[in-house]
Amino acid sequence: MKPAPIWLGIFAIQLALVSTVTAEDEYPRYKPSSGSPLALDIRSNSYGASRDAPHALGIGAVVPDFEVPKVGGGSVSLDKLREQGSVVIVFYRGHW
Amino acid sequence: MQLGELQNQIDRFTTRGVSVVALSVDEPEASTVMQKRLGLSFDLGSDPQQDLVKAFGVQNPDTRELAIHAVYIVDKDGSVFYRKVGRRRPVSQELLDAVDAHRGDYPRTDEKVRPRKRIAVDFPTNYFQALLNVIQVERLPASVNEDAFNRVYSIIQRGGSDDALIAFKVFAARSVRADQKALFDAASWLTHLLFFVDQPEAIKAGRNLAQRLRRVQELESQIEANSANPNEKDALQQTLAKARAGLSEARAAISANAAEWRLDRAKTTMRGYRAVAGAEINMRLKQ
Repeated sequence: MKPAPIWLGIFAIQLALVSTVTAEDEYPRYKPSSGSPLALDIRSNSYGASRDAPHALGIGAVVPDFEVPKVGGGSVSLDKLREQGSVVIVFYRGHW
Repeated sequence: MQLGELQNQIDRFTTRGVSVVALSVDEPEASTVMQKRLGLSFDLGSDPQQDLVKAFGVQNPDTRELAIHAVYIVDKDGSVFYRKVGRRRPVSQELLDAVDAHRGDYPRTDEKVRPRKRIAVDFPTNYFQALLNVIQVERLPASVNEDAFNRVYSIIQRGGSDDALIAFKVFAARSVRADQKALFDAASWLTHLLFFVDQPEAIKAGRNLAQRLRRVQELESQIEANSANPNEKDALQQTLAKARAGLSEARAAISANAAEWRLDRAKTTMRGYRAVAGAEINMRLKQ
């Protein structure tokens, strides 16, 4: 049997490369933790889940509106911030 | 994600019309210093009753008084389109990617990414002076500005907050004359405050251990100094044996409570602080 020409192989590899790049460009992928073997679609529910907080609100959940005291005086309310667009909400503690 | 990193990139959120709010369980006053030091322009909300921590389901399983680190991005209607709870903390780029992807505008190519810049530390000198003295509370000289001392002390005492770490980092950065031992002492002291300030028994056990350790060391050096006098040496050896027995009792009492006092976590945290202290020293040596 005659072996397939080498250019066909190269073409196939290039095609594969191009298609993976396009697929990856469609949505961002990150590793959920530094030890994770795979980068996941960050829009997925499993990407940001944590075993330590099994009941944390997930993708698609509607978060409760809040109004809490603000550092420096006054208060900050989610419904006001939402009027302007998307809102990033960070729960922070120490750096450890 | 560290709030300073987020601040560096805040313009990129603003141009997308995205607001940022950071929530902690500290009282609002507790974070003023951090806000000023990092130059944070976005809102810092305070949730001391943990209503939001509970509503989002992000209570810390280890210490119920704290939130687990979590980032949510919600749309105009309040629905979550990105979340990252615990584990690796996302950097700003990831959050921006999530926003762009949600809008069908990923990857964005029209944006120049600015390199990260260092934020200048603006911390009153008195605070540093006070911090220097925090590590020597029992030998507090009369000349120390008591008000400044109390303020820093209360920041550190709030345990588990960013403020404690920042207080320590500022201490390390500003303490030009401090040697490695002073910084390591500060590390131990901060750990002590973070983990044991609400646990009088742990503090008592720690003091007991320190006292007994000091006693053993004293006796050992006495024996070495008196090595020519055989009569006294025997008596000292006996005292030393007793002191050593007391020391191992004190050690046993502490390891019996290791789990309850979260000693493993305390040790890890102290290693972290000490790494910071060591890095500061190395940096100074290079300069």
